[in-house]
Amino acid sequence: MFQAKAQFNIPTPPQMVFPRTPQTIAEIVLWIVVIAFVAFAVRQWRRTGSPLGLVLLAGGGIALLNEPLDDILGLVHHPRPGQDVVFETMGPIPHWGLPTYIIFFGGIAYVLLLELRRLTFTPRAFWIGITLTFVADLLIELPLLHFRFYTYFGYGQVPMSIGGFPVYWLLINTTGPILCAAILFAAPGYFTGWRAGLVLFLPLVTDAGCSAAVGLPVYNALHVPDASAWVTWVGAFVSCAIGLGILDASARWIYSHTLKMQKAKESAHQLQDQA
Amino acid sequence: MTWVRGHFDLPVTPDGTQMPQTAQLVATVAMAVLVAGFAAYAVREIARSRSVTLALLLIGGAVSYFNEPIDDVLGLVWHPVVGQWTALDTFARVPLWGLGIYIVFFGGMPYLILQSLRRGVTRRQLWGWVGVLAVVDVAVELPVLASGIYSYYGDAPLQIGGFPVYWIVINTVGPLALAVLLMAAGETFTGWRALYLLFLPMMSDAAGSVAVGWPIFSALNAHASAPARWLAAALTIAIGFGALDLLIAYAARMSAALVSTRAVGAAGIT
Repeated sequence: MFQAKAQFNIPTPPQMVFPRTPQTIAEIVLWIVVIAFVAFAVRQWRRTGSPLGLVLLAGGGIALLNEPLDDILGLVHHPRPGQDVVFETMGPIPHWGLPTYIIFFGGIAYVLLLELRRLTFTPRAFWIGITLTFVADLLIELPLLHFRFYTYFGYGQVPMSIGGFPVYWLLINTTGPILCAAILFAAPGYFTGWRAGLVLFLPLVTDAGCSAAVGLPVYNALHVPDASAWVTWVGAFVSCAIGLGILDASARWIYSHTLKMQKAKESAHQLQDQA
Repeated sequence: MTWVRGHFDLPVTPDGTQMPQTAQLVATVAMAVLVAGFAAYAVREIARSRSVTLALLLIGGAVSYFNEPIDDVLGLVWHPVVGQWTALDTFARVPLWGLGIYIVFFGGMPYLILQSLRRGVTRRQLWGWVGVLAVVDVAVELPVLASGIYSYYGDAPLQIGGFPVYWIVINTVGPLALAVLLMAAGETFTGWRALYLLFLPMMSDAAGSVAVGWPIFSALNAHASAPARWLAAALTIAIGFGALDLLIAYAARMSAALVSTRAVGAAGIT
């Protein structure tokens, strides 16, 4: 028997039991969505000869290794009693997390990349896409929170919470897949030859990097034992501001690259016509 | 090793250790001297070229100290609490002497690399900058570790003199990424947008350290076997080199394009 002992400033989560039936239902629904993404990626492979979609989906699964880091930094509690554990590093991670990560950090990044490659990108369309990604995040998280699959906790009230969901997580979660797609779009030549294998880790690296960069202010605020509400709210606001800054920068980067690619495409057409 | 069974499975910190006072004083003064040197350089930059970039980056380096408690909890770093001159206390208390190294390493060094990028550098020279960052990191960490004012705990692999060498790549990706970002951004961070410079060192440091460090952070906290920990350390180093290679390839291309544009402009070719 181990004894709990304070070392770092980490609040105690509430006592919860994993809900059995909702877990089974959620897993079935999430895996159906994964199957749909896999079927789409296979179809794209046949059409284009590139297995990138499948690699990104696998990478999304690998990105689940970042969940325990997010949990400890952002104070997310997955109840232990009754949990089907997929792996355990800093804490146990439940099965349903795997399909969620495959969809969100692999599938969404892939769909976004395909959209970018059509070279019809505009900042307006980007922000509409971001809103849709927020909606996808909420559609996954709100029902799961409602059935108490997990909870966000803190020393006191968690700031910016709606239905138990702290809104700053939208930005912590969304920036990763977008940066992943932006890198693959802007530097396609880099991931060739032996470097092609690096794509497998790209969803995890971008998720972990963005989560830390965006979440750092609120993560710190949440771990201060006697922090007043305004400290945690300021932390949450700064995190949101950083997240929006990253999204804005990504939009500008993607847009300038799109314009360059459009120009190159037009020049190629003109040369072809002249020939 | 003893482990804590609470909500998270974290190894027990070396409780009860005391901060050696003389070593703390020496480290704090040494870091203050380094910071004073960079601050003087920042003042010179303002006077000579009216550029506040370095001054803001140095403040940003100080702001990035908020990433130290995160690195500590994830990467198993312990700063003795008793007798510590504390700079901030969030996940844990972190000492004042560390603030100076963050100002220099995450605020000052990216500026030096940026200047080099603007003058024009090859991939080989950029790898040289990685070497400089590694040397600065080791030159600071080894003597400070030997003095006992902090320690890496939890059976960290790949240690030389108490320093797990994978931290070199965890620490170097952030400053290089920031320099490359500033180069790519061109004139973006001017006017009111210069205020972004206060947060960019923190963001690049946090992103670099967690994106590169997650394999070893996970293995250390998972009570993994020695081979698993070594494998995780190797994966961390591989991801770190992958990230550095990607950044360097991108930066060298940009730097070459900038130099060529400048040469064309100087020759008066339109």
